[in-house]
Amino acid sequence: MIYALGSNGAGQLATGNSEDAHSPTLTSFPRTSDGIQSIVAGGNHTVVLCKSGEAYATGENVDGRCGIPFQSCDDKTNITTFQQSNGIEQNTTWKLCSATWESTTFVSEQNEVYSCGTGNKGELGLGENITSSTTLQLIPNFPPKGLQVIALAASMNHTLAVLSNGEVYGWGNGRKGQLGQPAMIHWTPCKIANIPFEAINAVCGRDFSYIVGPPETGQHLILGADKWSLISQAPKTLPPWMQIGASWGSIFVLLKSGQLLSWGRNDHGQLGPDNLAPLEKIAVGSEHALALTNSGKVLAWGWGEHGNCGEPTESNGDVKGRWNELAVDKRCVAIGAGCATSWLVCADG
Amino acid sequence: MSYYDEIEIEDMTFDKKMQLYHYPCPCGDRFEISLGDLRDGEEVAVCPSCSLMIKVIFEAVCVIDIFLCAIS
Repeated sequence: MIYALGSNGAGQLATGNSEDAHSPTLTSFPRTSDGIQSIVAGGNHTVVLCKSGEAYATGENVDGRCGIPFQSCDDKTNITTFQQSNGIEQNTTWKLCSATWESTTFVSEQNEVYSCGTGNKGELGLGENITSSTTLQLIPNFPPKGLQVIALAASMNHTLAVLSNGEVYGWGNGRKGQLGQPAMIHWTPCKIANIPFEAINAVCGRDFSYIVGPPETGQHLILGADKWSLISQAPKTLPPWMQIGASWGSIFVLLKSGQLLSWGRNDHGQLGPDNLAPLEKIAVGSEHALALTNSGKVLAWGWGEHGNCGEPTESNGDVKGRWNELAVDKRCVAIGAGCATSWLVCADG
Repeated sequence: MSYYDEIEIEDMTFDKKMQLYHYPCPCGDRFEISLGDLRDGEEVAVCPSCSLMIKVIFEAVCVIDIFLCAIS
């Protein structure tokens, strides 16, 4: 079962209504939770990808961004319970999924890349000035023949695909240099040149891209503006790591030691607080973060004005320099975070 | 006053029908400022769903372009 809390104006928590939730609230997720691969979120929609290749979505669907036909919407524009994103054919199985502000991108087991929703800055990757697609559309001629997509990441307005040969392609808004030079919008997937290593993973922030090589090499690269000292504060190389994450303005690296390395924006307490217990997993939202400790506790900190970091908060909603524990009476096995939304995947039964 | 961020108007989206500029807010809603408010010298775009607000960065000469663009 999946619990959610936080911002819910369009039903993106799948709790059956559009009221914010200030404590973990049971969602309508219809499947067992042991097979959940990832939870991704746009501004007002959420997509859960299962290891079986099925995807379930909830939230705003005015433009088909959930990969679900309009007529399935509860009130014509929003879905407030999880419904299956069927894909092109009933039997399409997905292996990767990411979301920009108003779109979703799926990669099939056959390495076909599809997008749906709205992308005014090239987020759909479907071609020059194609800003809307109410159904899933295949991004043509991508990836190059013989290559697989091994990782997919997105933030507000851009998407990155890491390929099996270590190359990274990006599309969407590149005006801050987040898709490399020249800094411009890319309407179709474009290879990011001059990455000095073979990439194996990437995450996106609002105006930047964070690309990493194999964990044992310590290689990493930040593309975009040096806002909040994201580039100038970054360590030269990374210690051995197991997971990477990015909020809109900060970068998070969970080290193999269980320690959390983070840098960038911290005015709402977004960065990892001191004295965290050893961590097993992290999940990073727009301006807040979650961590699952080795002992099974779920911790949350950062900007929590919508209840997404639990209680208590400072008067402005921040959980700064400290964390709240998000408690549920089930064992939490995985976590997720979106735009002021937090997700706890708990063992069934 | 503390702003969530300072955003260049070129990075905002203009809604011709509503005659306003908007930009995503990390809560899922969006910061909005109307053309009329911009014309009156207002530079703060607010989010209807939370307390965050942004300062809109633009040059006076751009505003003329914006108005021309908005009425065309």
